[in-house]
Amino acid sequence: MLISFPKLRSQVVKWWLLVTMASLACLPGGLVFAQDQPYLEQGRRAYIGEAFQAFNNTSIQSLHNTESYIYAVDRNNCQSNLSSLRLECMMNYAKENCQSLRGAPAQKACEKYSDIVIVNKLSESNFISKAERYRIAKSATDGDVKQAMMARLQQKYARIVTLFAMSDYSDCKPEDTACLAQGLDQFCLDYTNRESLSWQYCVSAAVWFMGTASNSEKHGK
Amino acid sequence: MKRVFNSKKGVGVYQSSPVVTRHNAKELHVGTNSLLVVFLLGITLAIAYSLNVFDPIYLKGLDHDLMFAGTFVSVILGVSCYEFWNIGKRSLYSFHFMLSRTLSREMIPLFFVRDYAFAIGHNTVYKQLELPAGLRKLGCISICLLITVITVDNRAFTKVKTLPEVLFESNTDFCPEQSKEELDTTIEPGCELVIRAFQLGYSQDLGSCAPKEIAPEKLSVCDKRRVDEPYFHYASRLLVSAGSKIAAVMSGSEIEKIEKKFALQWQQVENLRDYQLYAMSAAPRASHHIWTNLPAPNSDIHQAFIDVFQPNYCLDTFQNQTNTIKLDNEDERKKGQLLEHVYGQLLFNPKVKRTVGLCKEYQIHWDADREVCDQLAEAPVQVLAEYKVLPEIELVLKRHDIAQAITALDEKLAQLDMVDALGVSDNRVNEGATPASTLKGEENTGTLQKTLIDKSKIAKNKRFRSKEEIVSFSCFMQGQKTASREDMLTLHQDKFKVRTYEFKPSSTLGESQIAMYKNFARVMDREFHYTQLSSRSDLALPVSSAEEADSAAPSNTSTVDQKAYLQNSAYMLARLELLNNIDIFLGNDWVLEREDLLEVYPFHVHLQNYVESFRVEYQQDHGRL
Repeated sequence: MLISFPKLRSQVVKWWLLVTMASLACLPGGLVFAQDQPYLEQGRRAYIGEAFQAFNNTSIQSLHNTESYIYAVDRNNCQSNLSSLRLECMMNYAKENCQSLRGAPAQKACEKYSDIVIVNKLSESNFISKAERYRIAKSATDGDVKQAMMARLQQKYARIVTLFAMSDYSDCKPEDTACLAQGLDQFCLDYTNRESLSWQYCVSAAVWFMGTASNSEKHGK
Repeated sequence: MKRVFNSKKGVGVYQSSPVVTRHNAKELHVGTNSLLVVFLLGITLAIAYSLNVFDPIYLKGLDHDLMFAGTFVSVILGVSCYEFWNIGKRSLYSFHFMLSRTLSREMIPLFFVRDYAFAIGHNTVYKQLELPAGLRKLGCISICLLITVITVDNRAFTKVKTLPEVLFESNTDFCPEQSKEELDTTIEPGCELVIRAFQLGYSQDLGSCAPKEIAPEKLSVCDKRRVDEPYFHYASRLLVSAGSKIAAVMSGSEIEKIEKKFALQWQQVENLRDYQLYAMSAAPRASHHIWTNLPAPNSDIHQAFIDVFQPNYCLDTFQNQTNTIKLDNEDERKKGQLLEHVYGQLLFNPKVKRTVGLCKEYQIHWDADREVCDQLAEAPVQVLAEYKVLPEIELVLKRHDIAQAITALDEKLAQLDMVDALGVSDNRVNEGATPASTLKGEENTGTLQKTLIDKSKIAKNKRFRSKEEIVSFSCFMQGQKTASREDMLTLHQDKFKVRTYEFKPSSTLGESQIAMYKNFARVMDREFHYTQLSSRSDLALPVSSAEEADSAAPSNTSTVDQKAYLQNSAYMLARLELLNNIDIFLGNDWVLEREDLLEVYPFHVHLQNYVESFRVEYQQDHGRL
């Protein structure tokens, strides 16, 4: 029995529609589950990988501009004794800043590196204690305390990255961001379990340091 | 020809020397002078070589003065030895190597080789081999030089150089000269700005930041030697002073005091001996026991290995604890491992500064029977003996008794000193004057004679702990419901509380960790309560109205909003900051249900706070001697 071509075509189309609709029906369920727990291993590593990509695709000048902007709003507009208010304020300003960029990819990348900058700002007091901050301010030779603080923070970030590089988790090629993300996530989980540091502070410090370093190399600065 | 003294004639006459001409090719005669020089030179060379004296770096590092003085002294000594012992002259004795049958009677044979003999003897007949005189002299000088280099290095030479100063220096201190008034130029904290303003002319004076004058010391009468005092005058003063002291001692009251002190200490001689012995042997100062029906964290073999080969296991383990523990769900010992982790964190982890005691003085008895605490209350001696902990507990209690006895003795000794220092009769002391020394008031003995007893050997803390504080018994049992009770046991006429706490097991790992902290803290200290005021999380703000999840202010403490806030994938890392304000030790069970949040939760923030709060409470009623 031969089936005519038009009939065959209509059956194929029907099956294709059925399968597509079934897939689409399942997708929200999966998305909902992933959305419910975004901090699971997969979600964390994907986010870190995207952050690395964002650093690779953004100029170093833009990164430093965003950093300066967020630090400025933190100093001027977002001062608060409640950390949650301070956080929300910085996030709102960062969102506004990112929305001013053209194109969804640029905005998405801006969201990632702004997130890193915000967390680094929040983690400053964890990396540099009050006593050390006072010492740095006292010994800043040319009076530029901010530069001295940034330099010291970079040293602290470098220490974390060095420890990561010396660990077993860093056996990746430099361009393999997925592998780096996986290794960094695992390293930070282990490291912060031993030390008094939050996981996101460890990740942000390492991503910022590695991201800006690779960005500088890439653009020849 | 040589000149010899003729005693008969009384004059020196020339007498020809015996001619030494005999020489046999198969004989060898060596003068002892040369042999001695060669032998000594060889020995000193060997010694010098073995001590690396010939190392060029060492020789290069020698002081130039040492080199010069050493060489100079060596030459003088070497020549002196050469002349004094007539080493340059023909040897009177020789070593002979000759045919055995040709040995003369004056020769002393040393050993024989076939037909030949080695001998030593007086030699006036044979021609003997000798080093040239110059070489012998050089040899003597070389020997002295080598001895100098071997024995004297830079440090020794420096000591020799400074010897005259040391010898002639007076070994008595002198009275200090009267100090001149000086200004104290140290800058007080907070005065830098004031000083800078003064320097720039903005201020007329420095106020309280001005340099202060140092008041000249009020010297008591100085007994030491004055700078211009003759030595004999000083010596006579010392003699007179010593005589006065002896007279004072022999006057009677001092001896009586010494006798009383001796009698007091003799009564407590066993306690004094034990107190020193326990201090030196680091005997335990506390004994705290916890019984639990949870399985041991390690297998029996591993535990036996630890007991034998790793006596400091608990110190090493708790030194490097992680904030949270990862457990294998399939492991039947996971609950014991969790308890051990919690126990180490709560009591011994040094990351939280105030540790409550020494982990070796705490013991957890695993796989215990649920009725063990009941049995303990009824028959404590048997149960403790069964668990082999009775000797240790008795030792701690005994040490406590000894400490009390020693403290009482110390007070009595201090009373005797106080009587002597104040010149007051015994009646005043008997009327109940406050003793000079207690365990707390160490400063009171500052002006009095120091006692023999080191209080740190009695008790580490200023507050003398009771027996109940240094010995404790607890039962921590897993059961079907949560319950707690307290019983009493009597051990050698001392009463102790026995706390029993039963807890229900939790279902998830996250819940079980927090639950274990709370339950174990309760069994260790019933009075401990962790509240919002103890927590590092911000205070809760009132909920105003429902807001969108995306722009929900995290200050809004509605759980639904917080959950939604942490489900948003935008600014994922920054949002985790919210967890710093969510203390899972205060409830917030929704965090424990989120497996993803537990992986990134900042345990260190709230855990350290929880542990510190617990330890502050715990140490009020528990500790060590």
